[in-house]
Amino acid sequence: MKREDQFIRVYKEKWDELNNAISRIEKEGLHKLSNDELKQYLNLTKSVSHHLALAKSNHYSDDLVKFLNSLIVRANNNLYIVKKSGKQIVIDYVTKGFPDGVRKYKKDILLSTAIFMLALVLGYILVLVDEGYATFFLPEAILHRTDWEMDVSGWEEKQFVLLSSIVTVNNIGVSIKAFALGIFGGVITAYILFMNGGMLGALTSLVYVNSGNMVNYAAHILPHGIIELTAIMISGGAGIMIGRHLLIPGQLKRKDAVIKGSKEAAYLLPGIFLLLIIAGLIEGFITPFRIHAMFKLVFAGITALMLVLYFGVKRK
Amino acid sequence: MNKITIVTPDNIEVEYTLASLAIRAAAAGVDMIIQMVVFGLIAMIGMMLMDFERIFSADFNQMDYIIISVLLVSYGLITYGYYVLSDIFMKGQTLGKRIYNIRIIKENGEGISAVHAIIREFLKVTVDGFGIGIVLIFINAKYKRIGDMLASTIVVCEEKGEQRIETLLSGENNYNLEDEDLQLVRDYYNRKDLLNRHDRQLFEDKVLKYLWQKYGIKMEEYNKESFIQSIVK
Repeated sequence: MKREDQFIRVYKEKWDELNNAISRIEKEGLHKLSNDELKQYLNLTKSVSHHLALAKSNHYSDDLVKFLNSLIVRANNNLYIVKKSGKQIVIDYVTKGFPDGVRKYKKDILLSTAIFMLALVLGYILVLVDEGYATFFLPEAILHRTDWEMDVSGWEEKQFVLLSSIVTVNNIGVSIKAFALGIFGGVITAYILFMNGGMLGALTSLVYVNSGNMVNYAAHILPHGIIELTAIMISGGAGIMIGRHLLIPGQLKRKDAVIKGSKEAAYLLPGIFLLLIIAGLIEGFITPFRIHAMFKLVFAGITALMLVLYFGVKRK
Repeated sequence: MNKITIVTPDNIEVEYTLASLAIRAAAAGVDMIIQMVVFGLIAMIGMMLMDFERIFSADFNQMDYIIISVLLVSYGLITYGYYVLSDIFMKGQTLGKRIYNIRIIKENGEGISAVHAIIREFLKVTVDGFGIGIVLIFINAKYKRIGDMLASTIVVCEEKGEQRIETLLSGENNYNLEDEDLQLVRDYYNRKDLLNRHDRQLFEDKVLKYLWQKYGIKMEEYNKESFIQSIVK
């Protein structure tokens, strides 16, 4: 046991130093360290890692190995978490990471769009055939509605904040579900997309049958709808991506494939939230605003153009 | 205690202790209480600002709508955002996890990033609600929820290394025991397994009391074992 004691005496100082450094980082955070101190910390962690390996291979006492082990565990917790500054990550993500991700997984997003569109057309045709089918997608109360002209919004100006927050929270909830429930092979995600598409189709059809004033209707849904639907399509694509990796793992093990798919899908979520928050603000504050329908349609056109530029143009 | 060995990027094997289900449940309980208390506080402040006579006569003004919106948004933020944001900003911990000293890490020992937090916690609020997470956590050898599986994360105990360093470093001869006392402890240590548990406890206490008084060693209750080991070495 002499060798072990010698070992402890020789390196005790280093362990103490690392211990102090860790305690300091845990209290004050890594960014308080100067460059040299950080380098020192890295070196210390490395050398103590080697002491651990040494202690293990020499069969030193259990206590010593445990002590070194927990020291390294704590050191690693601070070490492998270091990231670039938070602000730069956010800027990079918004300007590059998110649109790049959307382009990269456009197949899944197109598939989710296809499901949505299919349901939309189906809902539209079904309701044209018989208005009663609308209850499949919409609450029954809507059939008793009499005013389909929609030339003014039912919302008063003082309610705009509430409207905006309701739709934003609700939409974000839907997008999270569409993403997470993709784990069931994408089936539930597809169902969510289908129901939402059918709802929009049935509603459009009802408006068409009952009033025919499609300009007012478009002014009611398009200014926020274009961004909102884009975001929902992307979240559907994210859910489908998880489901696809689960069902068709390709060359990876199924487990690894799902993990890979989920990570790629999760990467898109913050961007989706951002789009939904923008859409919610528009839906709350611009869509119900009592201005001429034409202005709203022009605005909707601008949002579409922005989206095309955002996702379509590659940035370096 | 369930241990797991991870090879760090430095190519060193490090042993982690997986957090037990009980601890994780307790941490989750604390988090839930925090969520409820925070939302309760916000709701209370909101209600104090509202005029109920007006509300009951359905006569809302701008301020009421703003308050209701703030309540709604904070509710959404607390349900969907609490875990994700704290995982990201507290490096894999929530307040509950911090209290119980457990942390989420990647399976390779690195800290988690935003992507892992998103997968883990959004699956918690959606899929785990069906009870799937609870079933899986019992089946899985590493106590993984479905979110843990998809994000390839595990929850481990953070050990506090500081306590052990003293006993470890006080080494063999720091106590300056006389030879015959040393022999006594060694004899006891070598033959203690022959005694039954009760006698052993009794004898150990006697020996230790004698030693502590004679050499004026101050020892806490919990490291009797390591004390004896450090002498025997």
